[in-house]
Amino acid sequence: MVLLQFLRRHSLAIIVAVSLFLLALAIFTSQPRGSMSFLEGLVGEVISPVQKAIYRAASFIHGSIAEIKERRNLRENYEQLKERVEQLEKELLRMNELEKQNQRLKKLLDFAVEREELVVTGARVTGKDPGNWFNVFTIDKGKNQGIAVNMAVVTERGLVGRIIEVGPNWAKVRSIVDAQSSISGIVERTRDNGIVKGNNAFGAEDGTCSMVYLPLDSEVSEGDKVITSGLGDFLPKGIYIGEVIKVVRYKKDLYKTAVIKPGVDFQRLEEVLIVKARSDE
Amino acid sequence: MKIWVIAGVLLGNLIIQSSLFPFIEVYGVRPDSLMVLVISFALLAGNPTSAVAGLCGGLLQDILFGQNIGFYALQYMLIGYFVGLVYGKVFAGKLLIPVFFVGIATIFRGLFAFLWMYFAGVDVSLNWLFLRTILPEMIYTVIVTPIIYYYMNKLYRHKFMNRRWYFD
Repeated sequence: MVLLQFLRRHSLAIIVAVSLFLLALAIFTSQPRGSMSFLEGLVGEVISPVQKAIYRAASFIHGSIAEIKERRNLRENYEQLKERVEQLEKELLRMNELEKQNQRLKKLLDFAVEREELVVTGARVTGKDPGNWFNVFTIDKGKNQGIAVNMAVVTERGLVGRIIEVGPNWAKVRSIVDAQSSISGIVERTRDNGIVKGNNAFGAEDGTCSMVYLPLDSEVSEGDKVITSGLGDFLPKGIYIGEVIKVVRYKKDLYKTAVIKPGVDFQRLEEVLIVKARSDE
Repeated sequence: MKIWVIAGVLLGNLIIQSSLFPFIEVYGVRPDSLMVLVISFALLAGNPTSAVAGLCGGLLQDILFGQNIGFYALQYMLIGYFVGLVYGKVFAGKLLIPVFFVGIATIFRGLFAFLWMYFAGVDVSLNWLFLRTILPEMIYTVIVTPIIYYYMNKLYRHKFMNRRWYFD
């Protein structure tokens, strides 16, 4: 066809002509105009439904993708915050623990300062026999720290017990509420001597002690304080043991028995002091 | 048949470009898929197909998104025409060839835009424009070129595209 041949032969010329036309059109349409040209209006009329559909589809896709992104962000944030809360809770727990420990140790320290004639060392309770009561328990100091059998174990609230076994870095303590424990005590007001035995026998654990061998004419009564007598060779004199809560005399006995509630809380023991020696000896 | 396929490709590209591409935008830069298509036509079919495809694709863009009717049409038509001149002179099966032309054409488009802005009185530095827009767009477009070209090549191998225009 003549037309195609003409096109082929003069392609460069056609391109230049169309280019110039487009350039002119672009320049012309770039001028600010109040109203759309007829052509633009027509094309817009035809194309705007298509455009609308495209726009709708695009915004739908955009919306859903943005939502997914946002949700993922939220999730991430949530996980992070959760982790942070866990961390902070742990931290708080630790802080509370430290605070309590601090208070306990302060009390122990007060005791140590008060009784400055006693050479003491602190120890942490590391284990105990099963059950509610600290009948026999272990501490984290032993022979290497200068601990020996029969040393007194105390807290700021009174006598805990004594060392019965020593390892290199640990020791076993028998508390005064244990049924096998017997120590020499004295009623502070009446100066009556007696033996303080633990009442925590198997099956009957009430965390009290009994002071036996009190003379029949003893005026011991409820509320009297009992301290160590210092008789024997291991416990220092004058350490608080507990308070008399009941005085009884069993029928066949030739002595009175006083039930003592120890000053130490034997259900909650964490740190103790060990009396190594008396400084004035 | 062929002409409808090309028109469909151009229209589909327009829809994808306007709906999907905002989401693969990186730092405000999108790949110029129309340019890859025009260059594919140029290398696979030559003139006048590529020049007309560029003109039509560009016009569609102008009418839908542009402010100056003819701005894009002119660019894409020229790209289609000049790249179409090498049709038959290079081996169109290689992926590196469209990548090369896409790179060149992106720079050409950038320069065109710069000149346009310059003559419109917009104060813009070529350096800034190159670093901020042209170079990132070139890199991004070059990355997607092999994908689009691969499918265009496949399309052209299809039998319904083999019928040529017989005008005479």
